[in-house]
Amino acid sequence: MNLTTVLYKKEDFEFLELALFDNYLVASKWFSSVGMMDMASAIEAFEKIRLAGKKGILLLDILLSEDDFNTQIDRIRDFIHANDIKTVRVQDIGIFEFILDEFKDIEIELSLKAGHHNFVSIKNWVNYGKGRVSKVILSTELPRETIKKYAKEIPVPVEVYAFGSILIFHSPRHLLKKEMDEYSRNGEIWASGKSEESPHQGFRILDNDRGTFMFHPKKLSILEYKDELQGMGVGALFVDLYPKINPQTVKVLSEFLEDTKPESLTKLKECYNEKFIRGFYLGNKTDALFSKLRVPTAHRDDPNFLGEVLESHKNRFIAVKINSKVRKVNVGDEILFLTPEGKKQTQRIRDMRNILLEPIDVGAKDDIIYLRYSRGVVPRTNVFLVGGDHHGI
Amino acid sequence: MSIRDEVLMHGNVSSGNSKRFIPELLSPAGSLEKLMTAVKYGADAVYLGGEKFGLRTRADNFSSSELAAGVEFAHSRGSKVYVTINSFLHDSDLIDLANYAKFLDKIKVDAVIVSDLGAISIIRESSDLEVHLSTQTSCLNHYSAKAWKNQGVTRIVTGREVSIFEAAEMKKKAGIEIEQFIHGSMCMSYSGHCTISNFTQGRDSNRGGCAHSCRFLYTLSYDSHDREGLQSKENRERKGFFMSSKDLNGLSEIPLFSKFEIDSLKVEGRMKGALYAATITKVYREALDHYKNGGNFDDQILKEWERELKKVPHRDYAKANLLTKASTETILWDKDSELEDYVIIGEVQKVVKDQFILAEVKNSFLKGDTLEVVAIKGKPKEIYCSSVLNIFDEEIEKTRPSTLVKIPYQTEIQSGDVIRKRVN
Repeated sequence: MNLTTVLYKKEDFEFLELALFDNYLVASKWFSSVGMMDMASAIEAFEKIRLAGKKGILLLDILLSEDDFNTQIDRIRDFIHANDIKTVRVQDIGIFEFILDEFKDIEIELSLKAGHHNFVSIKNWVNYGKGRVSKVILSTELPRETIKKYAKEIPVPVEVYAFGSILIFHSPRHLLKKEMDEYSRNGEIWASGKSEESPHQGFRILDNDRGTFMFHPKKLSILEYKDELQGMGVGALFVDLYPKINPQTVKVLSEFLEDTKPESLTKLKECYNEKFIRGFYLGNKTDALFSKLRVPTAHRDDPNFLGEVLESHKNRFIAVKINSKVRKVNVGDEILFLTPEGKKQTQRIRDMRNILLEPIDVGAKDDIIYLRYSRGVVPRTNVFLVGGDHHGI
Repeated sequence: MSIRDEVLMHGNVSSGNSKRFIPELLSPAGSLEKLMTAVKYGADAVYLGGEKFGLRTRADNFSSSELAAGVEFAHSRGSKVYVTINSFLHDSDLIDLANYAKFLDKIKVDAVIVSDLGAISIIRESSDLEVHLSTQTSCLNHYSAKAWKNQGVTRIVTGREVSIFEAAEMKKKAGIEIEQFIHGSMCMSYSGHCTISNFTQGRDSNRGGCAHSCRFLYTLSYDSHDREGLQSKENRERKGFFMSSKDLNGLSEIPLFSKFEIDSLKVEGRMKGALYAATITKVYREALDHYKNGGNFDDQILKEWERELKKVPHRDYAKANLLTKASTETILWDKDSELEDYVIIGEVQKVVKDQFILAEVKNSFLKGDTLEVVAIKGKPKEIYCSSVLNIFDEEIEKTRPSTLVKIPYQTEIQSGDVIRKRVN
């Protein structure tokens, strides 16, 4: 199992001497979301990575609307040609298509972090790459069982995010500049955000040339499951040491990778003044609340559905609007009321009136009919004709 | 001078006399009632969610029979129905998808709106449904559009970050239908790239559980070092709704959408009420018809329509990315709630000529109030409620919700018309 990390700025090159990682993403200002390297530094980074015998990957994780796309693809094309880039990592499906189209011998690492949560989708994107996709980067929202399945069944190696900040929001708009432009340093503004709506506090927020990024207040670590992930067949773990990219942190990480002892991992976490979570690794139940959120819909599938109560006037009347195109109601019919709370009661119609309160014998679609009051029947109660099958009630 | 330069310099596109392209008006239908309202008020197409696979968990999503009834109603009036299957589906969600697609195909749904390649594959294998790509995928450029087209998609709902000019380029270069949002609430994030709810509230924002954390008030501390290690001179705090976007209003850009032959104009708002569906659809229908018939968008007519658009709950309006990249002015920094100048009072249930209008009351009003009926065609009609009666002709001073009342008769009002009242 390989280890991947990212180089954000020139100073991060110090890593390479330690040869701790196998793959290095080069994050430039132009082509990546939060990278800080200028082009000269990015070129230098690739040279150093080559000299160290490691794999350099041009990070192209930007999302580009048409105008920016047309400007950037020329730069991307030039950079790839000029620097003999062998591998790129893409997120925007347009950039994926562009690389497939223009560069026949470049390996593509496809980031499917956002919005790809089923096997069919991932498999089909890999197939679409016609053998050019060399690695798939999975979503941080996947639980261990799913990772295990995908590691086994996806035809290329998968990479899992194992340590670092969790990006939870990305906007192309500059949300901090409006109020705090004077705090900009090198084109970046950083802030911490908290909301009265607990638990929304302690978010790290960055506004840069690419827009605004918000990170979870806690960092992710599933490095404690490193051996398990290796056993599943995961191809690579991604470790992002930012903002503590320094020899000390790298040394502690190195110790953990050697002995995989919990104490060593604790030491690594202690390098950061932040709490850690496991994200969704142990389980993803983010759909558990859906049944509670959902407003129950009316049982209108029933063939005897007649309409609904618009008004219920205590001890005086019930007004029913007939919605059914196929059912009519006659004096003498028995009807069933199904209240929004699920209570049922019946009424035999002896007297029926129209909106002028004239007696009528039949009510049909779009009529509003007035019936005798029935206790407990409230507005939005559904009304059915009794007789025949009553599916669903 | 290019059309883009002309528009950006002079504010609008000049209109020629040749036959004008009129985009489809696509309205939200959060329920069968709202579907009928949108269709009656002039939507060329509506989009809605079934009880599964959609992003609007709390909308009164359609049961199977309601879906069939909705399609039948819309088709009988020449409107199309698109069904959203635009949540990011997990493996377990895919189990029922083929049967659902077959059902939608059988009841003659016109297209499905999908955001996931897995779902697209299954739908195309199991049905002949046309597939539109949801804005959730953030399809932003023509290469992306080409890739999705290769997967069988026939229409792209562009990401909200795409301008009209960019959308036109995408259409031309990828050779695919394009749909753009023209009105309504905006995600501040790239659609599909926000997982705040997932990580902070345990609700999957991309499967219908969005908690709208972007509308919360935040305190921002610009105190920390940046990545170069520099320190700010002092800690500073700002309070604001920094992630809250103003609502989109692209009404005045209809000539531009037409010029660039954007195929469909989408109104956001399946969670909103019938008053919203009626008002927005009516205004955009009138504007599109006006333009189709050779009319120009002069200040006076625009003002009239804009006045109408302000009569539904809304945040401050902006054009977001329609012409240029959304600036910081598109952030609703100071406000948390939608403005509400009008409330829905109810719906006309019956009209008894020369006698009375029977109204279903959804919000209270008083005897003596002046109400407005949003007529399907033409200007809103005012009704002064000199008397309000119950069904027994007893006078009512203050109406109650969920009752039927008689208000004074007026001509040109029909069953189904929405009634509203000014509150501010």
